[in-house]
Amino acid sequence: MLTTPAAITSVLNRVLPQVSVPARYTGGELNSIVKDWDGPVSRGKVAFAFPDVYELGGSNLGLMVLYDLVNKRSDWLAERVYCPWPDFEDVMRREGIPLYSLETRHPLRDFDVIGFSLPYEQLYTNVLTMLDLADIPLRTSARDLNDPLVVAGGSGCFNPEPMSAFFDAMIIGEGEEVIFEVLEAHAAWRRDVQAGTSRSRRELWRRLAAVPGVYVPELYQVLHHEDGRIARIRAVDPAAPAQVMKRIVKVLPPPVTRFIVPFIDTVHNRAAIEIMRGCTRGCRFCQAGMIFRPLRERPVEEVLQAVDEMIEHCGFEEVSFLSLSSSDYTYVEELVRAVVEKHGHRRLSIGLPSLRIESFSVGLMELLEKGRRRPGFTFAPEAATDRLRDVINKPIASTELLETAAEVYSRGWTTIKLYFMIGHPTQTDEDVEAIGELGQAVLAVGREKIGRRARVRVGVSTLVPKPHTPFQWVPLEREAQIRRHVDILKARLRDRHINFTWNDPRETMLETFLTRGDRRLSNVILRAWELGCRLDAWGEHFRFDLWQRAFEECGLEMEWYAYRPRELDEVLPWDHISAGVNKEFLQAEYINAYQGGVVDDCREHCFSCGILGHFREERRDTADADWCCPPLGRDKKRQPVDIVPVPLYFNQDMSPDLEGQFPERVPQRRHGTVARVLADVPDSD
Amino acid sequence: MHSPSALAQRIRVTYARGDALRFISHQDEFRMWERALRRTHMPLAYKNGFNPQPHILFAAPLGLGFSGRRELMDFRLEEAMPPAEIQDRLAAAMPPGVEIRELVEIPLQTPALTNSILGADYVLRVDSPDLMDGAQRVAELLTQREIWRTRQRKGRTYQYNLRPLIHALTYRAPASPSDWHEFHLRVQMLQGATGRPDEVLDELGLAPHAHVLERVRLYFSTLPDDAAVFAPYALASQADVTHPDSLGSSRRRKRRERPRAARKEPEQRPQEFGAKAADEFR
Repeated sequence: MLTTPAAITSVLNRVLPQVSVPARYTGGELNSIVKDWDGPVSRGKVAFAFPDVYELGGSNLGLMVLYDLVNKRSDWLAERVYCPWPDFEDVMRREGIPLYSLETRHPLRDFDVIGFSLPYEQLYTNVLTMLDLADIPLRTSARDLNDPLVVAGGSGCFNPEPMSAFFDAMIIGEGEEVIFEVLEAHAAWRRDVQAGTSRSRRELWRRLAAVPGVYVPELYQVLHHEDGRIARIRAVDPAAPAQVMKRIVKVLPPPVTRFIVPFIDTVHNRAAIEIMRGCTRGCRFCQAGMIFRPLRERPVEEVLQAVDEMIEHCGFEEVSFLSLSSSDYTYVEELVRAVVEKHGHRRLSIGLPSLRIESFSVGLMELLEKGRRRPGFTFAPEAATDRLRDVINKPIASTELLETAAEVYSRGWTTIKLYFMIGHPTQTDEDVEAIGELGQAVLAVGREKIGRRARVRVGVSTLVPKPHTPFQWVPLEREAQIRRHVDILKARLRDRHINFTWNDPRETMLETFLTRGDRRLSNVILRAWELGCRLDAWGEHFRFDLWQRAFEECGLEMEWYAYRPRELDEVLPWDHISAGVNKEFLQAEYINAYQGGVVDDCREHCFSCGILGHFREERRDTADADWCCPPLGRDKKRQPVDIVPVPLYFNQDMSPDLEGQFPERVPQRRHGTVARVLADVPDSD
Repeated sequence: MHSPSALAQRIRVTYARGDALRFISHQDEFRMWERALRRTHMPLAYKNGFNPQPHILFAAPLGLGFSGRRELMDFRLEEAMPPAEIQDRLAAAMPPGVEIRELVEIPLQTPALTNSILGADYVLRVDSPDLMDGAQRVAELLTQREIWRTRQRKGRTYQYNLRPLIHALTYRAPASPSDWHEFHLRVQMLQGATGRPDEVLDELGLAPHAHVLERVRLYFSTLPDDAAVFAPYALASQADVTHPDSLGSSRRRKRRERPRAARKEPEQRPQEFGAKAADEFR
């Protein structure tokens, strides 16, 4: 195996012309930070690893934020590494090239800490590919004093168990502050090892477990019932807390403005600024909406300044304002107006993903019209009937969607993208057929407005019941049923102006068992990787048969993980991890779903999810404008806080006898929708 | 939608595309230039359209795998600026790996560089310690009258004769064992009759070895010195090098297939990961 950057570079010169997209492996991009490896980097060196190919990883904002933060400190060094495509993996093995960092081409083993990002589950096997290519023992238990510390972060860690065998520590929640605590803990341990006062990796684990928000899997034991359910999860070391509470930052740190500008095209090839973290809407299927609470907004001045700096440093032709629900950002119109005024003449296009129909105004639409480069507009109603949208707590009316669509088409956009999910609890065939009808209805509106140029794209995925959501107890829909529903939709959406796409049910199955699994899944993941599973998210590499074989060889069943409804009192594999949202709140919301009970946007009304209780000190320390939960302290009361929350209303079809806070269907009130501004009527049913 | 820019000034840049950019495609290089120009805050002129594109025109796109010593590119500004200032600003905004060699203002109506290209010189460097017969391989290639190569264009294969497109090929042996073999190549580059250095390398039987391809310079018919260099050569036209069979079949097929393809309904299929990932909703 090659050991020096010079040797690696020399072999790369020979082999790179033979691999696909060689620029994935060369680095040297504008704004990448190349520090002197042997310079005054006294405390340590970190490799941030994204376990998917460069084109995906290079667009990941989370990794970019940490790379920027760590490199801002003169005594730390951070470099990047991504997962090679299989053709280059073969070349690396053949030529003895170890996995190396892009900045200085050092082998990963030369770093002190390897930090993996786990933003979604389908990239788990890539972690093993990367550790193996780096010549680092895959299992934590096999590592010794000389191996780097291997940690993970990202939303995948909210159920850390399936990947628990491969990480020394997993960071729960937001990484901006805790990353330095982890790095310092490792540096202190490393000094003690060198001084001879610490002689075990376990000592490192114990120090890491003492850091709030850090989960050290080796220090926990899981006991199972005979039928496979979990009996108990317990900490087996006094240093490990019984439950690991996620970390949050009180105020969003300043945004990254020196983005790495890739040479090749990446999936999101543009500047990205996070304008808001968290979401107040409470959609019951949405993991992000639960685990990123509370809602924190970035001041609009800070965003505007970041846009200026980004243009200066990067030259991107597009800036994207990221959040879970952009049109809910308090200053969204002000922000877009200011950016169009200042940079519109330079053809800066503005991306505003995740718009919600109920807070998307005509004014905002007119502003976006001025700075667009794309013909499409996207909405995610997620369900096509008013009843089912009450079940998932995304209460918008189909009539409102159609009125908004008419406005979008008449302003020159030619394509509307609609995202739906199938497999929601209580879904019937009629709910599925309604997706087809709504897609056709939107196209009809488009035809009326702009004629034959109108296009509709319908994307349908299947509900994956995610940990830490009210739907975590719900089973995955059976494959035969999913296929039948897709067939219904294929027939109903057969039109050459409608493009219909759906998710392969077997990929959905993979995502489901990986997100819901317990720690026995580690063996399955390892075995599947050994059998040859690579880049599972990429359809052409996905080998479902190998996953089936891996389950069989490990004596487990993927169906047991995916199709089994969980009892409300069952110990869930992620019960020792807390997102700050109480299980009682999730249970109440699970029951509300089946009764058609809708809860409000929690900016209007606090439903006591638990965040305020767990982070009360942080809330007190934060300005009211930065954090949208009710203020705490004497004489401060902005919103009502329920001790026993009562839904806004109950769906008449589902619970005719139950009464909510209002007698009838009330749309969400925040900002005011396109439809309501136009019609100037109070409510639509 | 944006209105078209006013055009006040046209600038011609001569630059080196260094080793760091060897592995990026022409499309990627275009975007690299657009962003570099945007970082300069100069009033870059854009074309009209839904997705506005800047007025950037390359003399001859350089593909993946090549570096270039003297490449040429034109761009336009909406407001005129002193060329010296443009050069300073641009030099400061370029990513590592690109070097501005020369920058001049040219009249707005100057014909595009692409139309006056005659050909180019390349150096093909090959790392192969065992190679002993470099000169012999060159001699053998040059004695052939016809070298038929098969290429793909828009999904169709066709055959063309590479030999008439090669106007010079020489071999330089490595000075020391650690040096690489050098092959100096001059090809013509006319519409439909362009010699490709990677195909020459393949004909020499050296493509499997480690190699670095560099374009040394371009020749233009509008420059008297360049034209003089190419004057002795018998330049081949597209008809001269195209295989008679592939010419006929391509014409027939073109007429039949076009209308049918346009009527095709969008294919229904599961969503691919790349597309899924690009969607900011999930």
